[in-house]
Amino acid sequence: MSKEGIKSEIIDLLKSGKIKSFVGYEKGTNPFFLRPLITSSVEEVKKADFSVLCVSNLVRYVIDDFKIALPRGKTRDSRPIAVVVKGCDSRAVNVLLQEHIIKRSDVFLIGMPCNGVIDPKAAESLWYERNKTHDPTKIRISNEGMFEIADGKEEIKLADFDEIESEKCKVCMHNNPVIYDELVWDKVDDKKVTRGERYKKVDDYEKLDPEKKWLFWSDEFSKCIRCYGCKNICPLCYCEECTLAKDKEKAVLPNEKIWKTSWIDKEVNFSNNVAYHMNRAMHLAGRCVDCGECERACPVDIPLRLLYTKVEKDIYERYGYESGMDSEVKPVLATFDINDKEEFIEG
Amino acid sequence: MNVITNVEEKATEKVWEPKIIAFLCNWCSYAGADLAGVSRIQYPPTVRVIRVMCTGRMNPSFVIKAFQNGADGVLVAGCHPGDCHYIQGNLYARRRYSILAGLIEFLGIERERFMMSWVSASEGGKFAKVVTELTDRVKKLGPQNQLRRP
Amino acid sequence: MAKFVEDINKLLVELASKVELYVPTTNKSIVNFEKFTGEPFEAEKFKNSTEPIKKILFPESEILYFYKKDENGYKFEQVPLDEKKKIIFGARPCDCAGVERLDRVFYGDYMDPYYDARRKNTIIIGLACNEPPYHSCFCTSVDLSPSSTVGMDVLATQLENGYLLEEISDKGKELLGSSELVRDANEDEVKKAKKLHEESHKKVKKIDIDTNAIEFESDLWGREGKRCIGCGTCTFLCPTCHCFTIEYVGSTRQGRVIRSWDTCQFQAYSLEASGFNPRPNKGERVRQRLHHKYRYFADNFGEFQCVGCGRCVNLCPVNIDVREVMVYFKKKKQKEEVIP
Repeated sequence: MSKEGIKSEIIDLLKSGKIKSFVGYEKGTNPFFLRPLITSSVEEVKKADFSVLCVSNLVRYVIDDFKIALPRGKTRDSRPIAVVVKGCDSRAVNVLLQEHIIKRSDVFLIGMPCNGVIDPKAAESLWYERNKTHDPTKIRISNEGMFEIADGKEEIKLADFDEIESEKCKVCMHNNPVIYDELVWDKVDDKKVTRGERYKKVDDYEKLDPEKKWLFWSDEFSKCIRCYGCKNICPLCYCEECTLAKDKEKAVLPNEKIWKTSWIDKEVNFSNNVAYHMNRAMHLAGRCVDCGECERACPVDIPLRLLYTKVEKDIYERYGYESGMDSEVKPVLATFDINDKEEFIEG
Repeated sequence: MNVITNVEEKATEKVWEPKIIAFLCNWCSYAGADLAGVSRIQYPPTVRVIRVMCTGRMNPSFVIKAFQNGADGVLVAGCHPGDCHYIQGNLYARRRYSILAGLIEFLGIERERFMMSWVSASEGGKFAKVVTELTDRVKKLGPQNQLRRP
Repeated sequence: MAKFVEDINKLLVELASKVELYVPTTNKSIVNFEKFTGEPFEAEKFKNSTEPIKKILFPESEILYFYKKDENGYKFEQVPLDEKKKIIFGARPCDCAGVERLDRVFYGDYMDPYYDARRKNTIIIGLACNEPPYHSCFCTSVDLSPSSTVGMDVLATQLENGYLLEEISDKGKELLGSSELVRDANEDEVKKAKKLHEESHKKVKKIDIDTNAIEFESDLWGREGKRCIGCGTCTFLCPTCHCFTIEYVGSTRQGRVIRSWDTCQFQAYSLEASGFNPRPNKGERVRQRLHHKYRYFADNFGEFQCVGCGRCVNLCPVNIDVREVMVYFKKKKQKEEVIP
């Protein structure tokens, strides 16, 4: 397969009516990442692109499709949606299948094996530091790094790929999609990251004193403005009535009653922010696939991945479970083993 | 954080007593606490009991909300594994709270404030021991100010 | 009459000793306005803060009053207004213009006493942009400029040997007159600053925003809306967005009434008590926001509500770009070939 090959296959499927729409990536006005493209028009599918700039997790839009308010009398079109998924994104699809939110026939998965994507925020700040042209249209980013296309058509290297690679990709253990219908290009070799390397940051952090830990997190959580960016971009936060929302924030479809379901107070203060993040970490236990979107969406750069990776590590070390690998097994917190470790239980 | 607060708290002249919230499962731990009472076994009176039908019904949000509302310590007690009235509720709870305990410690919140224990209906003495231990631990730590809501 | 100061940090220390001084402070990877701690301010490293200065005048959450029920009924207790003297240093002209837009709202039909108490006790020292900080800045397209003086009391411009300080309002004049570190500026310095301002103005890319070209019924909204995730980042970090919600925290016996930031991008914002929602999908909410900024406000007050700071463009996780939308509509109106 190739980029053009996959695009013509999508166009064929759209024309024959076998799929409803296509969710992919297209070039936007931000030179540091490709933005999501959601379309059912053949012309627009031609604009799709696949590269190291494909940062977003598009599975979010599959969930959104179920939530669109339809005019009275219309029913939802149940044909599959074609969606481009990387390794991490495909695991999110598995979690959704496992929890019976979507059916396998609701999606047509276009797998994109990847060796890592960039971190747009890191790339942008490096560009500000090092560029000479001050012209954002003269940037080229590939898997070799970030380059500046100077006037004489000679390219200057601004940064190595390592410097702009996303943190989540450096410790990724699943470079290839674990579930797919078609692949954009050939599979790549897995990065050979060990569990120890993956959880190194969490291990290092756990060695700190409790006072230092609290100081660190107090600092971070006091920045939080409760914009709910992390929750809104996460493909696994699909609850119609969110218990962490500010009262009726995420309401159900317009013609249903809304009950007050919020466990967090509406006021934006430190105590409520900590409670929000703790609850959310518990809700994602055994489900988070580390797609990193929450951290990317956060406007004040709270290190959410550190928190969710800690929970992931605990789940793996205690129960040997990794989220999103198999859609047929039961979720880890919905099962038990009579011999589970209970060293934390006292008395 | 720009919350303007001007709450005046009435200062009490009494010595600070810790507020412990104990979530007890109806069939085992609550009966155990009852037995402790009937047998006149002394345990700190500052514990406030909330009866739930099973620890499997307990949501980690309850623990966090208790801390937010000013609890200085939280105890979750249920039936021994294998003895649950609903067969496996406490086994699910065991998994859930193992993760919550790790998370509490990871954030730097004083881990000693949260305790989980198995107390059966005939273990009145154990219930008193568990509550006394938790109260002593919390007394040493002082009032809980990390998660308390203003 | 323009003034000059050689060592800005000495001036900041002097000001901080008298009042609460807010300066742009770096906290790992973000920059926000926090209380001055003595750390020297470096203008070269400062682009613009993540959160605009509206946070200081209009906080995320504030208590309006307390209520308590006793045997005679409900008693209400007013919260003392925040009348502490404050100075904000280093606000970019776009943020200051944002404050002026907020003034129109909070001093409009009804004067908001909470905002008023803070506003009249705050002096804003703006910092002109010697060059546009971000590639997404577009202040010149909304009738502002990198050296505009709207909404500020003093305009500071960084030169090689210090800062030129221009008095814009009476409060600013009084402030500068009260410090011995501030001397009169000479003609050369004034000329240099003016030249910097002019060059900086030219460097900002200008796009044509035509308020009458924006269409209510357009396919564009559906397309942008499908991509939107409804995170509300654009509204929370916008210098002029001011929607708030008033809520009760407590029980029926006692509690407090708080006002906190709300956003039109959340589904429940326009949800009516009957259960009907006039803006159920995200496209409609994106449309509402852009209309409010470029059409409704312009029709009511004669100026754009947007100040061109570029934060919504930079921080939108799915790249919904206001500039692109405006260019699309302008081109469509001119019947040019448009590839949206």
